[in-house]
Amino acid sequence: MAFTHSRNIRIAAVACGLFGLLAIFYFHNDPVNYTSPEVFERLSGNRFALYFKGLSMTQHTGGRLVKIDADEFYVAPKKFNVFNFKPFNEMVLKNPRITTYRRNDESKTQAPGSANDSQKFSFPKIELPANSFNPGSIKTVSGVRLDGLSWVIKDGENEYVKFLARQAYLNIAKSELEMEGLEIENMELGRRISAKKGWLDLKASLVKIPKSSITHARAVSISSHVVLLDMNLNQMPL
Amino acid sequence: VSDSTGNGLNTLGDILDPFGLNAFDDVRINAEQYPIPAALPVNAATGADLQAFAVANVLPEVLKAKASADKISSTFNVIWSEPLVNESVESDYGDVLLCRAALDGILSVLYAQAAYDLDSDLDQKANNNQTVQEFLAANPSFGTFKSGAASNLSESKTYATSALVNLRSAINAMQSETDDQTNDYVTLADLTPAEITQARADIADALNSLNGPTFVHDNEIPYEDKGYTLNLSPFFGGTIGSLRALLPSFSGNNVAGGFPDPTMAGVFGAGPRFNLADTTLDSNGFVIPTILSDSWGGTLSFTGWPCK
Repeated sequence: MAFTHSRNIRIAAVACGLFGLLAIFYFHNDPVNYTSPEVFERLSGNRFALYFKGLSMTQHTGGRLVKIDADEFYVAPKKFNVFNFKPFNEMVLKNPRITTYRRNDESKTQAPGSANDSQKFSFPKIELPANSFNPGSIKTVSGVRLDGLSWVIKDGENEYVKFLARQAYLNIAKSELEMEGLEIENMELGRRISAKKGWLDLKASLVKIPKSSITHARAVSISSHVVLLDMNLNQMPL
Repeated sequence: VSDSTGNGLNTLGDILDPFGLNAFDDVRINAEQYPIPAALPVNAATGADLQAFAVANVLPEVLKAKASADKISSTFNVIWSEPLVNESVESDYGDVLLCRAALDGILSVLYAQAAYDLDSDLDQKANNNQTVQEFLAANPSFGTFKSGAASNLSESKTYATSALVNLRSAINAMQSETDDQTNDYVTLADLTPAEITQARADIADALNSLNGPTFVHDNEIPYEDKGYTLNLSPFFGGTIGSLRALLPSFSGNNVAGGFPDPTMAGVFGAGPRFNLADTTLDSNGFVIPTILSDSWGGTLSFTGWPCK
């Protein structure tokens, strides 16, 4: 089903900064001007404050095309070790497959690395119909869990950088994407690094990986206790 | 609230008075609006004052709460309005067991803190922005074992044991529930049977470690089992005479060397996760334990309280 635009509750996860990802959740009752996401087969599971099976969205944000597909999207009780406490929830995307673009649509023909590369990166927004859930359940969400993340950043038709993570957690307060079982590949430069864990600093747009956590590196320099990499997988000074 | 009298530390409100915090109730009702004094009064409560308050005032209340919780029957069931999201929720005996575990944990901590001298001049610390090095030098008894305090550690161990047993019972009770869990205040998370089994095994490890060396598996990341040996019996047995003697040396707020005893008086056995002898040259040139390095490879700085 496609969502309507008026009197909706908007939950927006907005990626900020070059390749940065920052989730902002808020409630909105005004019409919103963007391409409607398509959401299929909404189910009402007892355990969930909100549950969607199958999520597919396409939109233009800031002049850039953004696509997201996920097997499931739900708001459910947050785990505290082995327990759930009713008021505390977390937002989960199961196997999210995100595609974003390096450049604005109108500038896709620019040479890679040109000075006109935009520093803005925006995605995704998910608009939900009012009365579909208890808004209070969203107030207690502090982050987004991404199970099986695949995030491809494309330059025109070509893949530029790919993030894969067995599990990731978007920590809103820290503006940080915490990743486990991660692999980052820069296809343009033929560089790749795999690690057991790492953090994407959303404000600095840099990836931080402890050296002891690295399981594989191809054409990536590693010379310190902790490596700090930009999106070209160049090591930056700590 | 403040009683605006100088009759000692008798209530939680009394604790704020000697630190010079605004005494008006309409200010205190909003914790986020507390104006923190630029300088603490010179007669602010000391570490010993706060310890004494915990033993004389807090401990008896928690003991009463625990005694009440222990009387709740296994048929307990109540529907109540949870204020955070303002929805109706159900609490049952599993919640009671978890509550008992939490109270046991608090009691264990209260008794443990009473066994050690934590006296310190807090206004000196705050007003002079003492570094860790200066703070330890100015409070030479801080972190030493109090004579005749072994019974406190014995009580602490008793409640730690009870906390773990009640925690395990809470898991069992919630797992065996057959009614609709939709509105239950506390439920078991959406875990696999293997994860539930592992949680029980972790609790069993923790229980065993109270009495002797126990190998603790790290199952945080499935393919990376960084187990280690934990033995809390030296702590609860009162054989650790000084906690401060286990600290590394400090230069200002920064760690400036390795641990004098990487086993922490026998508490930590060999294991990659808690290999406290592992040292790496940090960015400031100090050879410090890796566990005390920050994630950027530099020396972890202990800025103390309050941060200025």
